[in-house]
Amino acid sequence: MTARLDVPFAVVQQARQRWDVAGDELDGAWRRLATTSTAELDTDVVAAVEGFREPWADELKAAAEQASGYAAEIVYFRGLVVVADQEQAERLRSLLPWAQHDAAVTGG
Amino acid sequence: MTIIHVPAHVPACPIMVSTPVGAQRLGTDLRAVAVAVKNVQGWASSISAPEWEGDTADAHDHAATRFAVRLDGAEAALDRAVTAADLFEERLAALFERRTTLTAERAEVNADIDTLSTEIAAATDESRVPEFERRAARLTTRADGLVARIDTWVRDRDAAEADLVAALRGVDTVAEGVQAAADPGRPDVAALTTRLRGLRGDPTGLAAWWATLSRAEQEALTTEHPELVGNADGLPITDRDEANRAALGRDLDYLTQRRDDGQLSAAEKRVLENATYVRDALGEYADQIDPETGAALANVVVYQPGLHSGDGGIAISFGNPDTADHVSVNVPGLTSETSSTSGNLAKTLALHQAALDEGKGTVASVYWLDYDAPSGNPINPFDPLGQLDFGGVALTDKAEAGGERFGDFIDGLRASDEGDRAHLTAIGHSYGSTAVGYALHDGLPVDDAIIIGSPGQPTGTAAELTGADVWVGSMDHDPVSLLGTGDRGGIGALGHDPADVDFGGHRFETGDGALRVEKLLDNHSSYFSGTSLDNMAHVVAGNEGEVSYQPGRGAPGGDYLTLSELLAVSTTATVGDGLLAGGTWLLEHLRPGGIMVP
Repeated sequence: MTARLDVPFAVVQQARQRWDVAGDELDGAWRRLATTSTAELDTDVVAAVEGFREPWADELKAAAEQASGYAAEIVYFRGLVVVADQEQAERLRSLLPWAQHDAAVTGG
Repeated sequence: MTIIHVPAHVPACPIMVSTPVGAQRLGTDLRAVAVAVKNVQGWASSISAPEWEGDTADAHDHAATRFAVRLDGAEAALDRAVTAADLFEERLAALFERRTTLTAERAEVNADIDTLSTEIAAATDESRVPEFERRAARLTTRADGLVARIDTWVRDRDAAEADLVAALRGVDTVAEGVQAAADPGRPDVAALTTRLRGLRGDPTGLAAWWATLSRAEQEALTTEHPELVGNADGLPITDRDEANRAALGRDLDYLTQRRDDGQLSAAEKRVLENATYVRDALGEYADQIDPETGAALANVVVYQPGLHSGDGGIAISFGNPDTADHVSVNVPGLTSETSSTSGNLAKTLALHQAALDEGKGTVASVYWLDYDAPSGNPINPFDPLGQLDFGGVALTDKAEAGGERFGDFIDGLRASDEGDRAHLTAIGHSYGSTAVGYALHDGLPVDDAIIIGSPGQPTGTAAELTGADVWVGSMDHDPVSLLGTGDRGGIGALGHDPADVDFGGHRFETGDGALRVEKLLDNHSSYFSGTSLDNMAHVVAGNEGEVSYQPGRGAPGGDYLTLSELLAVSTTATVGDGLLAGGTWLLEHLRPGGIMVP
């Protein structure tokens, strides 16, 4: 059983690139946040900075991994001549800009 | 026996464990993170389901929509943290200033206490008791007042730290970030951005509008569009510095990731290189602290790493031009690009320290390279194939364009100036002097202009150029300074020789420089040292009475070699071959940043 998502290839390609960029951008962000400078700050301030940065560095790291994962998913789908089934086609569509949310899934 | 109550020494004001520099570094890191998060959140939002469109289930399944919502919480939390860190930094800077004053007053009071105690101990009778009692009473009042002010200082310091701690703790969970994102009081960044863009080019209007914004609004704009805020002429220098450092941090973080992934484009590679140059240059001066505020002495006033054919644009100030009594801005010349920032900052700092040593008030010294400086040979405008090098220096187009940009920058400094109007000096070196010349001719609002190693000016006289005082430094053995037209000719492709007596500038003493061909470029890059530096510092600090002069070219005592004569003498070639030989030598010895770096 196969299905086909009716969107231009360039849209898919650009979406992959943008998710990849997002992953790299957030990767750099969480790394900086995790090592935020606490030099020349009092101990109470340092404790507060550490309390702030830890959960948010974790959150940004998770978001970075999610974005990179989306990019990898698109690479996987793009490698298929036709998307394997309707569920996968819809999954790919969900990773594209909202403007494509009505793109037809045919076959299946 | 009479007992006189002399007050005890006033205890020292506690040291600052949290320093302005520490707060500044914290703020820079938080802003850089916020910039990156907003970049991604902004993109995800732009491809998300609009709130009014599509069914909820569809939107819920849409990856970018969910992603944008997820990052919005992080963005809101970072906005709160950045705003709190900014306030903390400002309060610490004020505390630093107060502590400096308190420490000085304490030293004075304690010295007076010691003096009184010594005099009392030395007294052999009671004849001075009434005087001692009066002095002791006054000292007690002074000491008590000082102790109270130190106590207030300690409370204010503790309050500044407590407020930052509370602000960070208020958003130190993801749930609290989500709550912060739902706050109806969040700044409307889209509307603020529209207004900011609309006011660009109107530095006075921009400065006035910016001052009406809340701290949260300013910080939200700074992290949303650091490239706009950091390079907006008219905004306060410290705010531009914050934006530019945030953009620099973001560029380094992101582009390093891309490089490590093997995905850098050619343009991104240049941006990363330029960002790295700027980071390294700032690192060299990280220990330089502003003695008034305790913050970093260096301010990044322009950061445009992708501009000017990839050479990048950069401006860095030592000291704060908004508050300084005397401000200088120096513009470098040919072959200057972001890679040559470090060497040019060394020269700027030398001038800064020399001007401070004049003792005529506070000083800020800006290095400005936000124009497309040519990369060609100043002597020989032909490339090795004998073709005219249009990317070289023999044309005035880049000087005219650079002068226009420089004018905008100076207008911005005038608009953000605080207090009494600063004494402002524009300095142009080499081709940069030609760019400054065009800006002067277009009405640059400066008090003094210093033109050094100039290959030419757009007018034949200083009076036609500007109403400002024009000071000229030209070593007779600097070949670039012999390019302009004067009483003995000159190539003149870039205009008139400002050292010529008929130009009418104040030619200050620089010395002639060595007369060996291998030293000619050293001469051209030696104006920020020795007598020349001293004279520039006199002008910058408004201490013109100390300037030493030398005769203009063509005036009695102002004999000099023409360019071809100089090159012939220095290379032992014939006069006829001198120009070509010297030009070839210079071409072979030019390298990126080369003419500024011996």
